[in-house]
Amino acid sequence: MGLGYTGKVLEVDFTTGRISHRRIADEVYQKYLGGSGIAGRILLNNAHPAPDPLHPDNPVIFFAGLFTGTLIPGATRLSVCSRSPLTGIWGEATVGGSFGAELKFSGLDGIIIRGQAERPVYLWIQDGRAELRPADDLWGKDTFDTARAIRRETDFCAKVACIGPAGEKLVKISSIIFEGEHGRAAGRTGMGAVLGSKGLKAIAVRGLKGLKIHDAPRLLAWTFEQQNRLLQVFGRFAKYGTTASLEVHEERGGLPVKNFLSGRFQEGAAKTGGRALQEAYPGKQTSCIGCPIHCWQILKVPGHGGWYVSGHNPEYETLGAFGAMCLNEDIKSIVRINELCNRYGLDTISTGNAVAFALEAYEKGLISQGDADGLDLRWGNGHAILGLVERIGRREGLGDLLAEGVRHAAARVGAEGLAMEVKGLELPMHDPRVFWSNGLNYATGNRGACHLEGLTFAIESGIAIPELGYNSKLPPLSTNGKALLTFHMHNLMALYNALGICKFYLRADYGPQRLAEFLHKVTGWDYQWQELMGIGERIFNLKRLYNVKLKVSRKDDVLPQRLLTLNKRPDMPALPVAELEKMRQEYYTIRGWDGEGGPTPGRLAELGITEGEETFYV
Amino acid sequence: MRVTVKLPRSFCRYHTEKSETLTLEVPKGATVREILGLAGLPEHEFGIVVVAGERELLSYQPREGEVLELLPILVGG
Repeated sequence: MGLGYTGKVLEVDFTTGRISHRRIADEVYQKYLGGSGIAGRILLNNAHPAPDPLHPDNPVIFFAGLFTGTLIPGATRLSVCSRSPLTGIWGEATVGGSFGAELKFSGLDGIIIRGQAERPVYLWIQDGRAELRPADDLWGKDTFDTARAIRRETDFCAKVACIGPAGEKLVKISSIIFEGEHGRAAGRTGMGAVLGSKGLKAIAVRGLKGLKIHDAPRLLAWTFEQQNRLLQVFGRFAKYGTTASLEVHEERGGLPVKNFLSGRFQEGAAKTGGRALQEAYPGKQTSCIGCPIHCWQILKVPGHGGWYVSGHNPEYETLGAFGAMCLNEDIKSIVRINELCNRYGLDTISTGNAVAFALEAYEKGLISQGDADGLDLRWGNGHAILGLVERIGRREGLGDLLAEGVRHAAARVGAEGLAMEVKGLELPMHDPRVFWSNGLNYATGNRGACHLEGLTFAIESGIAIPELGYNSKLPPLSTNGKALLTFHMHNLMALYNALGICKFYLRADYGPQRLAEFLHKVTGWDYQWQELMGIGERIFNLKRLYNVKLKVSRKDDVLPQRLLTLNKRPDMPALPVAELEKMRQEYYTIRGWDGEGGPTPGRLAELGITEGEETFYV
Repeated sequence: MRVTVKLPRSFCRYHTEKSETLTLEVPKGATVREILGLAGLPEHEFGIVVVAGERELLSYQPREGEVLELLPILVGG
């Protein structure tokens, strides 16, 4: 065992009920670090187009970041990786909270899940000991009730990850909710449905073993020293979290409006932003484990029997997806919709997109009121949106169609031009027409349209990473330097996911140099920051290789037509397709990929990636 | 020397005591970062400053009478 990690994973086969403990070689950690780095390498062995992602043979892996649980501020993340049922390619969802740390405290870095249980079950892990327990009476329950019931059955302090009715019904935009109403979501790429297909309702974990690291005194000293600086750096983020960004993004043009058809939502943003939210409902500031920022809130809202805990506040993405995207200015309806998504276990980004798609299709006469079970799907009708979300969660009526994701739904109603997705993954609330690098990021991201895979717009808005040469004035509506920026940021964000770092810490000078310093304090390893960036590049490429094995190529590295033809505002033109292609070609060249976007054998060899199976276990 | 600082509307909504345009008397040669300090504005909120249509960094040294339009840092949601 090394320092900073346990070196152990749990393998569970739900078909046979067999549970085994495996030890992963130190060299694997040194090469892939952890999180979606190690999970990606394990999954590469299973990259075959043949079995459906919901087939029992499709493994799903929970893997904590290498820094997770070490008290580095922001080191909280856990990755859930599998082949996505929504996109059919690389699927990855990361989550904060404290589940990842608790898993490591129990003596495990990850859980590899295969097979399919005959009856619903949940997995209970206590200090590394694991057992399967029946979950028949939990099947059908929402995520808040499930987490509560499992805590009662196991340990009041257990951390519970579970699916809701949406995951059970194999809704392809379903999420995994961690820690019930006090928790967070592994939202994207339909990981809830993968768990549902295996009959796995939940995983509960309790760990009291702690975690040994190389230089705890110096790491703790640094952490304490940095508290005030971090609070200062995060500024209003520490009070409002991502919700404060809504008005900023609206102002700068990043907030998509009316399914990417409109340019402004000025008054609406003021009515649905962070201030409006905090004025509407009282919230208790809270944080993921060990994070001083406290960027989210647990909300209380009025119900029939008095005020009750509605759970995690809607984040920026959720406010945008069910607000601006649907022209909905009613913050109270968004809070209710957010709660419903969390209870059902639905990804709010994809679900908001699906609803906005339906509203536009309704306006254009492609979906009738009869198709919509009588719902009046006018833009901005919060009540109807709520009804539609409920139907998606239950797979009822029109909701059954939308539960397949917008790509599939659009193909079914003959409205492909209305589907705002890349590789089948619905677009987040960051319009690439205001930062062109984000267009390239969406087109080439491994899980599809994902802002967090690149966060290139953060650099374009002025965040500095001096060691990568970013202390610059990159003009946002230009292709110059964007391929290199996207290359660097894809590698850096792959590194963040392997280390388990929250990406908001990008604004707190967590560049590769800082990460290398942390790595020494946690593991004792001496890596130069350039070597770490090389590991990020390796991890990004192995996910790409996974996708290439599933037939992804240049034809898939594209954007929805709307972004390439429709101007957002007079000063924010559509991203010309020729410019996108230019950036894409430059990006392939920098990566050392062939003209179809495949990593060449020579490049793979340089990165130390073998296409065949690698041995992980000691 | 005198410079004018234009703040984002969204920033002012979250810091209600600030108006959207400030005119300040600052020492010659001061950087935008130093001017933010003098004006009591949180440096970490802003990443880029636009001066006469050009993007500049916070290390930029404005000239007499220039208008500085501050752009906020954006991170993910």
